[in-house]
Amino acid sequence: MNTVENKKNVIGSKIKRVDAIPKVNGKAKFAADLYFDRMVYCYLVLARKGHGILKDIDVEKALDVPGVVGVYTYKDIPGENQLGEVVKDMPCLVSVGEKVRYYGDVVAVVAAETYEIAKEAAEKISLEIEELPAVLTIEKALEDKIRVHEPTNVPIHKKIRKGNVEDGFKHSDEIFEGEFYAHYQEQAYLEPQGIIVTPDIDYGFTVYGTMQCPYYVQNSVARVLATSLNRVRVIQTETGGAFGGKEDVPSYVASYAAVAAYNTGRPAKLIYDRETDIQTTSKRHPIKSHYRIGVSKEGKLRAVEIKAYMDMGAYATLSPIVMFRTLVHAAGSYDIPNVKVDVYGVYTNKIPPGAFRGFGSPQVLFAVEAMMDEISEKLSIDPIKLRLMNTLREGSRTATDHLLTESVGAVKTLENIREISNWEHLNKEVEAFNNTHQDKKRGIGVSHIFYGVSLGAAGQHLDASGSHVQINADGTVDVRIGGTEMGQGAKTVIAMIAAEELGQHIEKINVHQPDTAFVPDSGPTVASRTTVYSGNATRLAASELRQRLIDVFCNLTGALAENVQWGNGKFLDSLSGQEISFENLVEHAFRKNAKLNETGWYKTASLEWDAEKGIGEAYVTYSFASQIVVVEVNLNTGQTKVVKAYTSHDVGKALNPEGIIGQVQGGFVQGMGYALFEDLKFKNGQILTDNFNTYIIPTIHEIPEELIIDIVEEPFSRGPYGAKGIGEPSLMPTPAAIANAISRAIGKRIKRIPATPEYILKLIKED
Amino acid sequence: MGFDVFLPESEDELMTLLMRENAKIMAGGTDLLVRIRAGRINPDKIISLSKIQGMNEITDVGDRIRVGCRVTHSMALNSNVLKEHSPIMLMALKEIGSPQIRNRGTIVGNVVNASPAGDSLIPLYLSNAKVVIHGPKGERKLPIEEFIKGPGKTALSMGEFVRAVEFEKSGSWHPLFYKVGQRTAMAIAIASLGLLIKGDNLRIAFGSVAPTVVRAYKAERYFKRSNGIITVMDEFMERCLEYVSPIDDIRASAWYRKEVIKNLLKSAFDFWRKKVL
Ligand SMILES: Cc1cc2nc3c(=O)[nH]c(=O)nc-3n(C[C@H](O)[C@H](O)[C@H](O)COP(=O)(O)OP(=O)(O)OC[C@H]3O[C@@H](n4cnc5c(N)ncnc54)[C@H](O)[C@@H]3O)c2cc1C
Repeated sequence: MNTVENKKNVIGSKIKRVDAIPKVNGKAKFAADLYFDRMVYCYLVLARKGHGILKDIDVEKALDVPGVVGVYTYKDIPGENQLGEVVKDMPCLVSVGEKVRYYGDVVAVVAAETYEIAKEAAEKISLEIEELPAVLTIEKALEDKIRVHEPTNVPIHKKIRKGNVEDGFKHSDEIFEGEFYAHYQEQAYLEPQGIIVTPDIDYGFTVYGTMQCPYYVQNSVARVLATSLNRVRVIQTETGGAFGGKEDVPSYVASYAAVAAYNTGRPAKLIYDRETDIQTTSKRHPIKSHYRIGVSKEGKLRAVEIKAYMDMGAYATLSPIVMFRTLVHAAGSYDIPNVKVDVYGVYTNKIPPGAFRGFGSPQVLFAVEAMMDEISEKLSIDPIKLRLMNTLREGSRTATDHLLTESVGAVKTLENIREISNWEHLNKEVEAFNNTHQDKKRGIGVSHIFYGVSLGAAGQHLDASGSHVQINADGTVDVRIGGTEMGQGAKTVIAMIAAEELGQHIEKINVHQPDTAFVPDSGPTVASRTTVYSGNATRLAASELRQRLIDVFCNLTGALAENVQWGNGKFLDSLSGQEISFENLVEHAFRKNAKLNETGWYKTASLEWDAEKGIGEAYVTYSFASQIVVVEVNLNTGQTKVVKAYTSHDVGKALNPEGIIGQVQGGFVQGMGYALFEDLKFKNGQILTDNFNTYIIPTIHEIPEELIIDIVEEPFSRGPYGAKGIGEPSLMPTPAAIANAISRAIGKRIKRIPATPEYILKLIKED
Repeated sequence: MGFDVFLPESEDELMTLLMRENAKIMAGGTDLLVRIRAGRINPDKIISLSKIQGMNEITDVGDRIRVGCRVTHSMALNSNVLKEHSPIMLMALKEIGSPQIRNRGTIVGNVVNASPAGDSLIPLYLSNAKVVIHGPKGERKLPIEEFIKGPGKTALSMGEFVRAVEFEKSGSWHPLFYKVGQRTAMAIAIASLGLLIKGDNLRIAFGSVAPTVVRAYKAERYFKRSNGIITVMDEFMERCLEYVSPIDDIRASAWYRKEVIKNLLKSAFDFWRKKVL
């Protein structure tokens, strides 16, 4: 489907978010806002030990608490005691005789008449656990002496072998090396995890909750309850942020609640408090990486060799697919002839990380961009020029040897930031500041990234989406998609696409909460794919319906189809000037029993991929971004303030420019939190920073006063109107740019994020 | 969790309620409610100060200022008495929490909470504050250094409450206040430093680097002996650091806290030297 055309009705215009008002006035229903008759409240019992064998679960005291309805353990699971989408290594509830593998392992679910009773009873359950020594670091895990799982702590290895790196290094004039570490990051969504499972009138279960992926939840609940998919209906409630943290995790939350609903026969509500949420739900993976890059005198990249280890925690969850993205993005947005990358997934007795905006790539993009900065400094090449010299263009080949034939906006974004930042002047300004300040120093950091859109070669089997569009007798339109709104603006952009294609006003379009009963499995809402996949599916369905309305219009007016125009709530014969309102036309169509509902189904052509060599078409297309950040470091305290930032994004086509600005602002701030503040601290595998008094995220005061966002458009022919994704690329360049800016300010290389004041002060004091 | 809430309307009523077991006073509740939720304390009676008449005034009492126990940080920030006579207090209060927290939290609550990171404690220590205590045996006043006994520990006895704090005016002193937190707003101090300087008189206090806020008296005397001109920074520093005994905790290491205090002291005196010259 070639979809690049010039449309001007709604697409590209300034639109108010369709879900803004209920979210502002409080009418929006989030998971915790739903109540059902005879509902029980649930609370989880956690193992609270890093590693050991579960010997006994004593529930007597809990059952004595008045108001407790039941305590459910592994014995009460009717189906498979198994969670996890990719590797089957994670129990729903740990069985007696089996291993506890991290502090947050769930052992039992308490159901009670109130939340407070459930919590009190959960605290009265005592567990007997025979402790084993715990594996708490990547280094310890690699020794492979104490095993988290048999047969090895290092079960997953992914690689790229392109060209010949030894040759490449031989032909290099300079070789640079560096070791980097990127720590955990918590998604810190406003709304914690929450699910309600209710026995329903279809003799099955309906699941309501905050989530990104209703079809994952449906699968998991069916498996745990030993029932079929047509007995589990999942409806997403308004979702207060997700950032990847509600990709696989809600499947687990729903499974625990389902065990309670099944055993009590009553609606069961499980809402996490913040501590349970932080202790038990996924994070961004810590990644340790080692880089070796060979360059010519002039700064041409000749070879890169990368080894990266990611901490998967106690269970693999989504790690194997997160690793795929780490692998593909490790060498950055550059055309390098010789590439060797090895990524290893490592089990430890800690929280299992999973999906988080960027999915395994910001960790390595930080590292590769730090290397680029180092090269630029040591070879005295302007950092933007160095990147322009090496970046991907039409006709370039990526690290996986993917030949890029269109939609490569990398160069444009680099040229764009140079312009919007007033680069030469900015450098002089910072120099002048540093000449007049003793206790504070400023630095300028540059970063440049690419980002594979959608699931890519590792997730092709999930890369298709449906959309159901139905025109009602009054001219209003129902749109049902499988992709979810979680704050990113999906409903708005989908409503815009439907309005554009049908010619109806956007106010008349209702994009419903996803419901598995209406739309077939559309894959997950992840990987910046919703605009492209649900968007294209909606476009297909809506344009089909428009054809039917044009037929009715031509019948009524005698117009020729090619002269018919639509938009602003009416259809028009451009020749005769005859007009019929959308509502009138629909009335006529209904009288003729026309079919005014349609299902769109969109999938992309399959990608060529050699998993053994890591060579081929990794993703359907790539988004590109460049960023410049100015920081000010206080040399007395090591504190960093981001003073200015300029960021440019190639989005293919900006369908909803306001939405893009919102995404980039949010992504920038979240990336800044990752780079500077968010430091997950542990003691013996237990997370100490389990609320926002100690897990520090940025506030409005940390946002730079100057944050300039610009967009470049290099259309992607298969995206709706040329669009690619922006949800994740909005965050990707920020940690790298900030780290590089600090390095320039203090004259020492930042090799770890978050670059906390303490870390920076230590670097300053060294030598 | 679960507790009864009492809303006394007079001090007498309050005193009667305070004789009950396992009761806690609540002013703004910004410390109390957090600790209850975390399960650190488990009172079954909460006695709120919200309905009591008065005690929400900031009064000029000659060379001292009196702040009643219902005065919030926001009220204090808008007070002309404090603006004129205790700029150091305003500098510290501006750094507390967020607008919401400043609208609810009280200065007396900050004192009774007795955290070494309590921001208003630095100006109170520097201004030789006295805590006005009322109880079954009548009123007594204790210097703040005697009132605060350790982290979360005070000299309050059963049945007593704090009516107000009183402290010296310091309008003629030059104030300096530095707070280092994990971010610029809504952050608990990991190290803080307050100074009042007038000629060869110096008062100096540290926060978050010892079990309580501390005054560095030896350093103050050294400054006086040197006639307000520090020639050997190391000797002055040594006298300051005697009072600095930080610990590693979830927010920062002891090393970091000490390092920051040293650097802040240096830059404070660099600043002062330039100003005086
Ligand atoms: C998000 C957040 C951010 C914060 N940031 C800061 C900060 O930056 N700096 C800082 O210093 N603090 C901070 N705090 C802590 C807190 O807000 C302050 O300590 C505040 O001043 C406490 O006042 P309150 O009136 O709320 O005290 P309450 O919580 O009501 O009481 C605190 C303690 O004092 C007792 N008490 C209160 N009044 C009396 C009285 N008259 N007589 C006897 N006992 C009494 C209570 O029983 C309780 O034990 C923060 C708290 C939160 C939740």
